[in-house]
Amino acid sequence: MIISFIGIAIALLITYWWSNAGAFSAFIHFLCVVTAGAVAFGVWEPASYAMMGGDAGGYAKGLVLLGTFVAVLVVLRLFTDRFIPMNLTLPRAADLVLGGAFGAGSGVLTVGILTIGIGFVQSTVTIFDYTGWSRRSDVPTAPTIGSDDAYILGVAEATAGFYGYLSWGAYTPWLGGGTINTHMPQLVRTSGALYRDSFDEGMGKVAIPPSAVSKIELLDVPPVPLTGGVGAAPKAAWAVKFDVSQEGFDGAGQQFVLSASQARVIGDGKSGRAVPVHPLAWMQEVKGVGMRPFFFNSPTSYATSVESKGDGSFVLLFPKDDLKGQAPRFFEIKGVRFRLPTSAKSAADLLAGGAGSSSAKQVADEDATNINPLIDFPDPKYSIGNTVINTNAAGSLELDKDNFILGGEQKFPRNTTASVGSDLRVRGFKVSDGERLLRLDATAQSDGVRIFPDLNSWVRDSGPTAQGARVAVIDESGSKYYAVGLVEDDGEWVLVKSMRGRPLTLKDIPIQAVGSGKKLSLHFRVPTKTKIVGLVLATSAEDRVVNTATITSPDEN
Amino acid sequence: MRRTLPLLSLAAMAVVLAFVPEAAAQDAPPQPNRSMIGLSPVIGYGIMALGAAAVIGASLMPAKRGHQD
Repeated sequence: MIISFIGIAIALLITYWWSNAGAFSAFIHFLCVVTAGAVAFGVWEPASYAMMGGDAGGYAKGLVLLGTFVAVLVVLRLFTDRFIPMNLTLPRAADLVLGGAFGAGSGVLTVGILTIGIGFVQSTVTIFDYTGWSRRSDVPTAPTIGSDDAYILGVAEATAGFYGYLSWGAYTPWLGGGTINTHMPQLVRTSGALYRDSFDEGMGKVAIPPSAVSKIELLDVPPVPLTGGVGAAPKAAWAVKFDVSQEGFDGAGQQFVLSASQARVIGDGKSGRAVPVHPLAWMQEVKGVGMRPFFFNSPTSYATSVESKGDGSFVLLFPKDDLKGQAPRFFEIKGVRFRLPTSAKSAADLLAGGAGSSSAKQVADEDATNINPLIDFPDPKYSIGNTVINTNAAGSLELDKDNFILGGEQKFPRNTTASVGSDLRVRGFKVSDGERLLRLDATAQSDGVRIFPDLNSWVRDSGPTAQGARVAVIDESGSKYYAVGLVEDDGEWVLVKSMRGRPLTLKDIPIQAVGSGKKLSLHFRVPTKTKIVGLVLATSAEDRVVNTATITSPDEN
Repeated sequence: MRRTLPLLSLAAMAVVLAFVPEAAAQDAPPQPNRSMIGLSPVIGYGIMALGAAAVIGASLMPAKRGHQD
């Protein structure tokens, strides 16, 4: 009620303001608002997709929509005030009534765009007392999405409907060839608040960089039970299979988490209005078990990747009937829309093709050496080594409340004797329960890790392909665990670099020549009691095993 | 038609086996790691407030239009 009251009060204020300014000025302002909104809706998605990675990704869509609207509105207003300087004189009553009418139109559209825009800003699911559409525990049918019927939704719906109509006609965006109704159906539901309805009351990641999602496949699934109840009626389904890489994970690259409200399939919109449908069930890998099916029949159901693993493969199942006969055209996940393949694969591929097989082709290097002696599993509290860092001098390193490193990069003078209280000492890279920190001595040396040009002809000869390769340790099942950070010690300075969830690639590592005297360690998060069998350089085409190992991570500290 | 039916049945059986509800109902989905660092809502609230202020400010820019002679 509070947000609805504030929104309606703003609309009334704008109405009053333009009623007083006169009919002609109110009309000019109304045209500016209509045009600014159309431009904002036309460009916001392509512009915001470029910003979806990193920490600011969750704010990108809202910032771009509101920012574009305000910028275009201000420019148009300055332009029209400059080049249409004279007023039209009307009888006072007509001036007030017509000015109020145009002002009310401007107010509704402005508040509607504002409501939609703030809905695409990462924050809690409920803002004051406003939620809108979200996963609810009082909705019995999966995927348990319902509304609190806030009044402000009506204003937002009117705005979305108006621009949906305009985008079909004179204001059709020239980018993409679609309309709001074909590409962004149920825009108001998405903004309030399905986009923000993530894990931990909205504090999980709501955005994903488009590059983090790959290998999207569409599968045609014959009738299966899509809800978890005993005796649930089988339903035909569309299944979307996709892989997610670590850039798209929550918790600075720790784990991928997805709610039913954060994914949908959008129909082909053949009637001019596309039908969206959220998933009812999914399949994911479970550690030690393989792919397993689960149901989105509760607000606490989340698709998750296996902890510590650097990528994940998922299959989401959408009921065909709910698409109302439309063919699936787009797959939208965490605010990013992908075009689905035009032809669906057979359902047998869902299982027979290995639904969870995201592993690339593995290539063993004949010169691979064993690196067991170079691996240890230190206490993360003291894993940096070679320098003692005071939190007050941490520079651009980003720390959590326990002083573990979450992100950033900084050089420190080498100092192993400084006296720093335990409360002020910078710790190592953050690991979670059930994980151990694997520290690999990656100093350039013969019989060392083969990631430098001096030690590996493939790295030397492959140029940008090798430089873009991700550095990971693999376990016996082929699961990869990417490096989360590095520490380089040149004898005078110690460089500490955290990848903040982004997998570390060769180009992130300062190149070392054999005999340079510099020490380098790479840090990985691995699950406890996991057998590590090698070090790989992972490219989009292959996983190149450059070193072997036969070492098992110990139990928790 | 005769050749496709057995294939379809095979596929259906494979998926149905994976989705036997009684079996699946026994397994709750793995829960997300609760120790993950969540994002702070404060920045989002700040951006919302700034966005609202900017939108209201742009909407209330006065029109200094003179009278037509």
